[in-house]
Amino acid sequence: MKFFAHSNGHDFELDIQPDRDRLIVKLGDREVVVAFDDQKWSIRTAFLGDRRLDFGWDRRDGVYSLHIEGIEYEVVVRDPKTELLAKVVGGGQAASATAEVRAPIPGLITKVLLKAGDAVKKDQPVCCLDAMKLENEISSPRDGTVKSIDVQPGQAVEKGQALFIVG
Amino acid sequence: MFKKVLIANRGEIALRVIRACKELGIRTVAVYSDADRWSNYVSQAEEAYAIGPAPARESYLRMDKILEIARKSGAQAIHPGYGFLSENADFSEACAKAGVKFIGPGPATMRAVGNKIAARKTAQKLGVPVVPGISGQVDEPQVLAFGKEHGYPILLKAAGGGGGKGLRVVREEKDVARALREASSEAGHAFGNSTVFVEKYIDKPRHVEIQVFGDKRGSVIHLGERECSVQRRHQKLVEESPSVAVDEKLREKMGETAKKVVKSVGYENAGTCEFLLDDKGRFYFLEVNSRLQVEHPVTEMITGLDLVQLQLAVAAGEKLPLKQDEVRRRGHAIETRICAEDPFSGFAPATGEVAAVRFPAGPFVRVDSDLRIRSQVTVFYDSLVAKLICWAEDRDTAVDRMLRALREFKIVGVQTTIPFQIQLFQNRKFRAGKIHTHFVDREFDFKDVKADHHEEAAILAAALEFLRREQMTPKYASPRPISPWKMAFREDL
Repeated sequence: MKFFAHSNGHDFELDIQPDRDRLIVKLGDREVVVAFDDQKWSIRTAFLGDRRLDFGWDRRDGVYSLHIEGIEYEVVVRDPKTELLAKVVGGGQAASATAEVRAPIPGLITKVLLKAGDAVKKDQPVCCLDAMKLENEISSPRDGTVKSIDVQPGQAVEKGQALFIVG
Repeated sequence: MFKKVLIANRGEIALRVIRACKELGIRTVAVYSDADRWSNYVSQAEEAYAIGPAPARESYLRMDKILEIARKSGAQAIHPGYGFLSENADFSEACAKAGVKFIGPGPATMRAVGNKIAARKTAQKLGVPVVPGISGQVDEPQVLAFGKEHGYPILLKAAGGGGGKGLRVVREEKDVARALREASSEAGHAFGNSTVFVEKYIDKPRHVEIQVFGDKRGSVIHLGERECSVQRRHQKLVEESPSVAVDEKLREKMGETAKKVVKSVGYENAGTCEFLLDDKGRFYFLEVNSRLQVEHPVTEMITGLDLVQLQLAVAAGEKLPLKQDEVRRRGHAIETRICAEDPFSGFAPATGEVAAVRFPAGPFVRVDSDLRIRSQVTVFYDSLVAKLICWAEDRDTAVDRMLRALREFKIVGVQTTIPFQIQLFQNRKFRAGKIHTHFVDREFDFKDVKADHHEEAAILAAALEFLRREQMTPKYASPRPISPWKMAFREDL
């Protein structure tokens, strides 16, 4: 069975076949034998080839959270049909003409540094979000132009609320 | 001793105080905001009361509500923990008026040490060294005279101050005029106030603090130092005792100085005297924290004393159970603060639901945390989710133990600072004890190891998705035989 996996800008195409109690995962011209323990909990063990991994996981709204060596990864897994659909719609990880940046956490907008029409570089701060007593710079995910800014200083935002669009 | 104590705090410190009370047979009263209703500490207390919505100013900072609950529940004393109301002199006073013992210093003492400028003056009067400086507008001749008297480098800083703006380190006399002009104009632009102060600049200072304890009869002891030089943007990350920079003679000197400062204000209960220590072993008084510190476990581990139980005893009017020469110190203890922050994206706060927790264990490892499975990490409070404390006979062994414990630690679902700490404790300069307050910001290079595992994450996620779909497929369509045990299990579902 074919899958597409997207982990924070890293894209993978995988083919998975069961083989008794193991899975054979093809990734490009590589082949990895994957075996899981039969725990039902959020912390499990797997073998990826010879490498043993103690990992944590969770699945929410179809998105997998993987926890490997203290690091959290968010992975979107799609089958070929939904991958095609996602590409057509232009959302998610598939290449699209614009990037909408959303608030990673709820908080208060303290500063807006650019305005619509401004040129912007990747990782350049666009606005500042105050949360948990800390000021967080929200930066552009890519080079381009600020298409619109949807917040103003002093505005409280919810997690996931659109902040600005870069095209 | 008290029969019932209210804890006016939340999270790990509330749990810490509850544990101390339980061991002494004291009943505990917890208070909680709407966000904390299902927290671990709430379920551990004998009684628990709601005090309002999630924002602290509507809950944990509401003195009236907390005192009302103390009255209703019959609590004889209130432990404020750290943060929130712990250094609020008005609250200490309100408790006294309401006839409830505030576990901490009285209002007059708190006011005397709470104001930084007043505390600095008190220290100066006692002959305690402070960082030399002039706290008023200075002109060029004054700065030059100051440089001559105290030596370079010196620091020019804007009165409005903050964020590194209007700050200039001057290393030579010839640079004074230009630096003064720049600092003053920068301060004018940034804060609308061009007033500039001058003080002696200490190049790579260590942050060393002394734990003190006073009782009602005026006895004061110190329990040695904690070094908290490893900080990121003025937030402490690692605390340890003893400090590699403090020998027995210096400890004695700093300890006696700290005692002198707190004695002068009639100090009762736990307190901490903070100092800057330069590379020549000279120390300068900074301030007194009139509360239990986050990093108190470090002192507990090497002295064998339970500081919270000591606080309770002293507050109940008992005298300190030991004299200065009975304080024993053994081995080396290190604490690190594990925060819900993402070190891979500039330490942005991480929030969400904790899918699973696995605390490290084994010899000489202590975890102070209120986390459990399905805990919510929200933006309403501090990002500290756990303190990990390790003890060993010497520093090297304690650091190795810390690394071992950090690798065992799992908090799934919310990114924490653990990957940062794993690198920090392997850092050569840290291991050699060559640390100072700018160490993390200037000398420590955090490697973005996140890139190393994207592929593994993708394989695991896709494999889990495959298995999930396979389970959803009707049994007759399954391409491989299923064990009867699994069949039976699925039918139960």
